[in-house]
Amino acid sequence: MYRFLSKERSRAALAVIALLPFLSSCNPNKEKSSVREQATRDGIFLYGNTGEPPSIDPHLNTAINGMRVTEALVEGLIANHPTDHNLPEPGVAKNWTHQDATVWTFELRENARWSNGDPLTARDFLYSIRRVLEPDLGSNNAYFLYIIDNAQAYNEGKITDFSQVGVKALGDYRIEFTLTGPFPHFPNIIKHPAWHPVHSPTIEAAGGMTKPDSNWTRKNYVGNGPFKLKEWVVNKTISVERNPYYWDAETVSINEIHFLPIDNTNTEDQVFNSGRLHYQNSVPPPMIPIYLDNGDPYIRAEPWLGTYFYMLNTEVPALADKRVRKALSLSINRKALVKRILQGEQHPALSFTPLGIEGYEPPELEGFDPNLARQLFADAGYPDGEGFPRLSLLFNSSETHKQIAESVLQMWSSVLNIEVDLQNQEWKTFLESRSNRNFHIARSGWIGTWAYPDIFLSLFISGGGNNDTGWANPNYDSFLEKANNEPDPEKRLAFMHEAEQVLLEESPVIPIYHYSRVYRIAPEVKGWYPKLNDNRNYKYLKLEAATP
Amino acid sequence: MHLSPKIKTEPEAPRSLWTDSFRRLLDNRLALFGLGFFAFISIMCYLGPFAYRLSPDSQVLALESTLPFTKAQLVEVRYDSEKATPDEVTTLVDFGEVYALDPEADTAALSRDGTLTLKGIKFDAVERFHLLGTDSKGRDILARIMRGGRISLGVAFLATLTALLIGVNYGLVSGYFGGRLDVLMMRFVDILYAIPFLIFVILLMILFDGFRYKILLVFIAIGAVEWLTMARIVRGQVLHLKEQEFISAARATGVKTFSILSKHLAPNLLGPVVVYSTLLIPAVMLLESTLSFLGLGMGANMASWGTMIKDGQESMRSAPWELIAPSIFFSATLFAMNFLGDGLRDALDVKSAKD
Amino acid sequence: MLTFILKRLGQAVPVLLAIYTITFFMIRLAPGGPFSDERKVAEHILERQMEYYGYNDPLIVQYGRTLLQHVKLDLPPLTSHIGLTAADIISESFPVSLELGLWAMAIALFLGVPAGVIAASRQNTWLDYTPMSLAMTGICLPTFVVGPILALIFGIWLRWTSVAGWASPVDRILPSLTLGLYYAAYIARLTRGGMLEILSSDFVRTARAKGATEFRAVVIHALRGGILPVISFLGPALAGLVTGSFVVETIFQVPGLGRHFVLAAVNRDHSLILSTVLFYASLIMLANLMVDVLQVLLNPKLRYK
Repeated sequence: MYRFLSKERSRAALAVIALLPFLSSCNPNKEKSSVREQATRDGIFLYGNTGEPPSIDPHLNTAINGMRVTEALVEGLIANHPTDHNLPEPGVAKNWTHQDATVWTFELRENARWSNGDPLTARDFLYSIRRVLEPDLGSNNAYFLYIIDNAQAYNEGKITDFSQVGVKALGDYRIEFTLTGPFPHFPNIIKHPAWHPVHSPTIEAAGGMTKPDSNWTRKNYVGNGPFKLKEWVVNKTISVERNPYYWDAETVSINEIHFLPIDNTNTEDQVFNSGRLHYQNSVPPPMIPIYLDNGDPYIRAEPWLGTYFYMLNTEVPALADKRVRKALSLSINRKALVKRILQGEQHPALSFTPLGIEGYEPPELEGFDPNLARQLFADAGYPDGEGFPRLSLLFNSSETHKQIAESVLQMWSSVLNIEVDLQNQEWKTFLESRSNRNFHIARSGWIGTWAYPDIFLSLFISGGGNNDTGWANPNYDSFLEKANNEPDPEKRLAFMHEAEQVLLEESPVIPIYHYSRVYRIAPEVKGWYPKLNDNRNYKYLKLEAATP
Repeated sequence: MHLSPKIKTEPEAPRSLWTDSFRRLLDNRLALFGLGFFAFISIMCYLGPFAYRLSPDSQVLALESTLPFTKAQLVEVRYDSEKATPDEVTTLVDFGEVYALDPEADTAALSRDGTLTLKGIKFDAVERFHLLGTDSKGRDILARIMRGGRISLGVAFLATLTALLIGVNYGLVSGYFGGRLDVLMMRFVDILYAIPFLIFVILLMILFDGFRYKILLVFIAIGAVEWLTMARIVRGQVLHLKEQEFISAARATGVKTFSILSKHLAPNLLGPVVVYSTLLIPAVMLLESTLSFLGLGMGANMASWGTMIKDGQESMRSAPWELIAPSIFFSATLFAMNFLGDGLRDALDVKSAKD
Repeated sequence: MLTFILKRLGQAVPVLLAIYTITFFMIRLAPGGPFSDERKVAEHILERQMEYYGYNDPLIVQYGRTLLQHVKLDLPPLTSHIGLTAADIISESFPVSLELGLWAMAIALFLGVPAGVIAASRQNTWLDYTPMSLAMTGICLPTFVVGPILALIFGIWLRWTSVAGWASPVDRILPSLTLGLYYAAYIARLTRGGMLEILSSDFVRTARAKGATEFRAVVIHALRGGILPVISFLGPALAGLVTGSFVVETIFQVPGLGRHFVLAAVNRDHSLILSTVLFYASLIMLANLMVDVLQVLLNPKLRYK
């Protein structure tokens, strides 16, 4: 499709004569090498980063695109492992020990430095933990730290003495965390940027630790990661370059990363095709089969730790009956949806927690079963859909959501013989409707920050802040409670399995599919491995020009 | 003081002027062609579904996008053999991959006998002919174009009319009376220009949440923005016209303001108004698709031409006919309206009528 | 003339105030706030954010404070670009949009006006049909279709231009063309319409009868009146062009102002909405003022009043 014929070329030449004045400014060497080849030679990684992040302050940012940048600029005690999401990669900490998975002590490396040359010590971590938890900062990331003893109380203003919070600096190079209970996966949890350090003099100079709109990230970003901020132009680029003071600077191979905020997937696709990107974050669904069929050398698909699902408002009388909820779930042909609409390597979701979490095999729903669905529907008092109220399916405006909703609608109509309206709203209106429970059935999605079932299952705790289904089940809550107090990793997961069993049996949500990431990457990028949570450690990436 | 000749003739025979115009319109072949084509499109959209009986909503996911003039080999799947409507419609190929126990033999048997039962599931082979192919969900494009046309033509007609009525009258009054009134009215237009449209649309949606005739909101939203430029154009024209001799003359001879506006100024505005209206129609049709994307207007599964073009653009490189088919209908209709508009303008042109 | 301009500038003050007031209350009525997200913000965190960004004061206090901040040009902090104010955003992105808008306007006028004039002076010949059919095609093809097609042809197949970005001069070509062609089509049709109106009017006939060359009759005498609808259209169009187009900026990844209008509303970044709206309103009024001045200049009778 992209090969061009010389005939077309000459014909088009006529049309473009009018553009000659513009073209005279073209780079004459462009035929010889693409932008990407040149960048590869210069060691510049051209990275498609979906959109403009609102912030790259590790403590305030909540967006994925912002996190991709902070991963280059700051480094926590534990860093992202290059190949495996579950393994801890020593970051600022060189080793660590724990007692009952509750008290954790980290030994910091003494050669760790800030990008301005200042030494990095345990006090910096203490300052940073305090900053995130400081009620006046109002960080949305504070709850990640609630597993530290008394952290929640401090953040909510119930205690004001920070020394009561379970974190202590033991000298310059040791830090100790006391947690609320056993967390065997703590090293995975603290890979999140909310746990990363910030440079206190810089923060203080920009208005103090409690200033929510501090502009230190714009003017004078001092970090401790393998890279430091070079330039940030809104909607154009965030460029980072090597940090010479990084403790492991010799491992860093790439000179610069340019994060390009391209939010339109078709544009991103074209930019990649024109040889201006090494990494394309998402591929437009219609193009996926074409690339796959044509043996595109760049495309990759791998599972991603997230679930796309429909929430049912159990306060709506018709949906209060679990037979109805199950019937709705049973009449969705997830395989066909995934194969034909999403076109990717997504997994039809028969469980709420995604697959691939180490040591956890989630329970499964029954798949597409029209007869059982009709049976349940009839038992609930709606034989052949008779008397079933006209519900509506709410989603936020987006092409993919619309496609899926239209198909689900059709499946419900042909299996259960019911009519459902589609209702789309723009993002913030949608959020408002959903959180006010002003919906019948609503689209939703959840992505795991680390690979552990609690991140997914804790959503539906009775009265939980993000539980918009109105569903409450004491059984479910108690299984999760037991899991959280269980130090033994295997038993912990077994309790979570029980909890998920309850969730699926009751079906306040209909899982549709588990996310997968379909992206394209140039072969020049070495050291890029599939990772379930897509967290990268850029210091291990290399750019090698393809040999001619 | 001399009177322009057209003033003299006007009161005598307004009827003959219209007849004249009509005759001139009939003489204009291009305009007639436009009228004919427009009529054809309207008939197709409103009556076509009675002849071309494929449903615009019925999906065959396994079919995906197919080229125009495709005869699709489909299989209706019934888990309950008694059920009237199938639980799923799929393709013969997909049947072989998903349901068949022995792909080759079962597929052959199904296409030979037309029906087959496997493990209690009943399969019936059917054929469908898709004149303009199908979209990515296997829905018939022509059927969607016909239904989409009804929405788009309706919106185009009503919303343009709304914008036209408000804009022309507003501009006429503002330009003719001038002075303070003009200042006030034009600054009001400036204010409306600057109001953020997106927020306005969101508010409309919220205020009328649960309102049954959402399509009316589309007219309000479109009308509210599209009349502004029309008003400015008309006002500019009136400012120019009112200084011309025939208007001053009419005023001097004591013709009533209302008849100056309606009989002397309005006819002279026809040109720019018709031209701008023909420009407005495509803008309105596309604006409708933006509104429906935001959730205002038709239900999300009711595709208008604008929405179809938008969706088609997404799959431009994988299935270009999904973009081309609605675009052709869209453009052809606009061309026709345009010829008709030009013809009307020429036919009603008071000045050339004197030749 | 000077008093006219001064008067108009004086009128701008109440207009801006009205726009500010309407916008301020409209965005507060809209559902969803700047802090809502897929993962809900905890009650006490939300409370603190509301407090910091001043949402806890009575609405009328907020109204007055924000107004004062805009008057003093000491703009409030943004919620969608943490650490920046609208002044940073506008001063960074407006020059981009201005450049793009002026290129597009140049293309539009350069192609549109001559096409319209030629079509009108040769009404119902192929010199009329060809440019007008092209213009009609341009109007029927929305920018979100033309943009990607141009990018595909010139950026991917021919590799003559870049497909997106805003760094080198080559990057200007496609967005300017996409935007310019669309407006060219409008202008061509409006010019033709206006010219036809004038060409059949008495004073052009008089000019012709007096023996003026066809070129003089058409260009000097007729264009002056015939261009009026175009000029009325240009006011808002110019303001729209230089403040950027959301679609074109998104397709071509141009860091202009147009995207901020839409994204500010999408993100409910109230201060960014207000500041950009006021900026846009000022430009609209400036452009409309220029248009009105032009109209007076082109219409001798208005001038001598």
